[in-house]
Amino acid sequence: MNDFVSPTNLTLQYPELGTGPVSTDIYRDPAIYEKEIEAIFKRSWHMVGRINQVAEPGDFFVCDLPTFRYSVLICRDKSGAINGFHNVCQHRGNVVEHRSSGKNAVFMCRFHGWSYDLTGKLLRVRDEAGFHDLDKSKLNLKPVPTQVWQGFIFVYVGGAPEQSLEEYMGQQGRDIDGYPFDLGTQMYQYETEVQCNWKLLVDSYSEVYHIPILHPQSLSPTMMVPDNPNGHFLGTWIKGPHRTNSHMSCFTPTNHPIQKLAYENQASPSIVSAQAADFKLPKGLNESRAKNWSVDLQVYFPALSFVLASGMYIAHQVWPLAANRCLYRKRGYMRKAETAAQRFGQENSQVEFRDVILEDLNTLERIQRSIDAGLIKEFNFHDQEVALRHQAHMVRETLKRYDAERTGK
Amino acid sequence: MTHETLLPPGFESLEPCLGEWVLPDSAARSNKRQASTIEALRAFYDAMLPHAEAAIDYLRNYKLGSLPPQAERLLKLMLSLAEVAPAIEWYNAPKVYDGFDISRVRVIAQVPDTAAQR
Repeated sequence: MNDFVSPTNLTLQYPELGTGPVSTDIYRDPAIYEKEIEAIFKRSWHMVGRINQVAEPGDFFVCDLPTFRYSVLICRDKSGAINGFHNVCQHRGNVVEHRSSGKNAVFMCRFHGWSYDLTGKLLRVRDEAGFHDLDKSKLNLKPVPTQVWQGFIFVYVGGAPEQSLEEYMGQQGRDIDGYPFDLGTQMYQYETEVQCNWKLLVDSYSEVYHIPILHPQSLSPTMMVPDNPNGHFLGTWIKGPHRTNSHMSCFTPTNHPIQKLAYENQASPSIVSAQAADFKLPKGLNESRAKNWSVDLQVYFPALSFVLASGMYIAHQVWPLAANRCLYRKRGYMRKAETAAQRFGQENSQVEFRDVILEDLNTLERIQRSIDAGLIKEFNFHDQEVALRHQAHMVRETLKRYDAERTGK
Repeated sequence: MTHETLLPPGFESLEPCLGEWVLPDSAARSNKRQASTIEALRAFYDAMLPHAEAAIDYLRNYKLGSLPPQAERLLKLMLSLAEVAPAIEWYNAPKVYDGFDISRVRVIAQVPDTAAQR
């Protein structure tokens, strides 16, 4: 029965991470924050949506990039290509598309009425005769490098990308090839500003050491099972800049009859795997091939994370706003419910995940206040917090490379 | 047909819940839970619990997108039950224990309640 062997030496597998205390300066110092934006966020691909949001030519959506305080406009053109543009009219700088989504043959700025086609070409300048020396060929929408991975649309805002999206997703991205992302057609999304450094937010779902204490009624009953009383990971795999945590849980009969009823009426397995996956497991999903596997958390450095269950998935995204502020954006993708009974299971999943997130967030703001006040200068990470150690390590290494690049020139 | 009930046969006793617990969407249900006392939530939960399994068995026969009004109302009650259940089963309070202020959370997109899903 007891087939779970807790991996107790995760950190020692990655000697470059060390085992000692980690300085909290990267969680508070405004100068480090500014450098992170330049060295990390401007040089990362950022997920903005999924291809089913632009299924047909003319479909478009606008996605706000809070860190950069502007939005991108994504559309599918008549040739079928997906294009991304800065959402900026080249006349006076208003947004060229003010709606969040829709279908258009042309984009017309709702200020003076300049219009552009789906490839960004400036089509028409209203009352054009009134302009002097207007070079229309230089006034097309400004494209943003836009690429697709597993149906997710990503943009790159730091100029010409140093690596393709596929290279950026790396080994961890390749290891998940075959996961049925396209079945998660039912999306819900919410977001909130949290008064904490962006890394604290990523950290919050990257470790399970806190589960029995912070989530005693919600997650704990399914994750603290006799085989695994401390609720340890099945494993953590560091893959270049990215990392995967593998979770176990099992639904034991409890005094939660409605929760149980919902779990039994999902269109597909959710937070706790009630049944085996109905697809061939990619190498990187439940990598240890454990029986009581529930979900994997894949973090793509710096701030995009996927929670992958066999029947649904979540995309957590964190957008830095300041050294001690960030925007947390969560999208949940569920399989379609055919019957009204499955709709009930679907709603339960959405509600449970939201309540769990609400349990997490206050803690982060309290930590940030302690850091900002200089009351906690170092973190001592548990072995089960190795993902946090790796995140901090990646930030430091990336900033170091950035400094070397600039002083080396 | 002259005395068609608002809910499917067997669920008539839930009719008093309809006025308060048939709500337009997830966000409205969340707001309703937050604004309710634990006593009110428990009264709704206790009324629903004995019928919940039968309701699911009933709703299993109906496809989203073509729900008759009675089934739709029953589903709406069950969706409110999904929202209320953690308050009763997890927290014994309307709000998450020591939780983040939910009024700070903006809902951007929701899954429709009764429309066919594609």
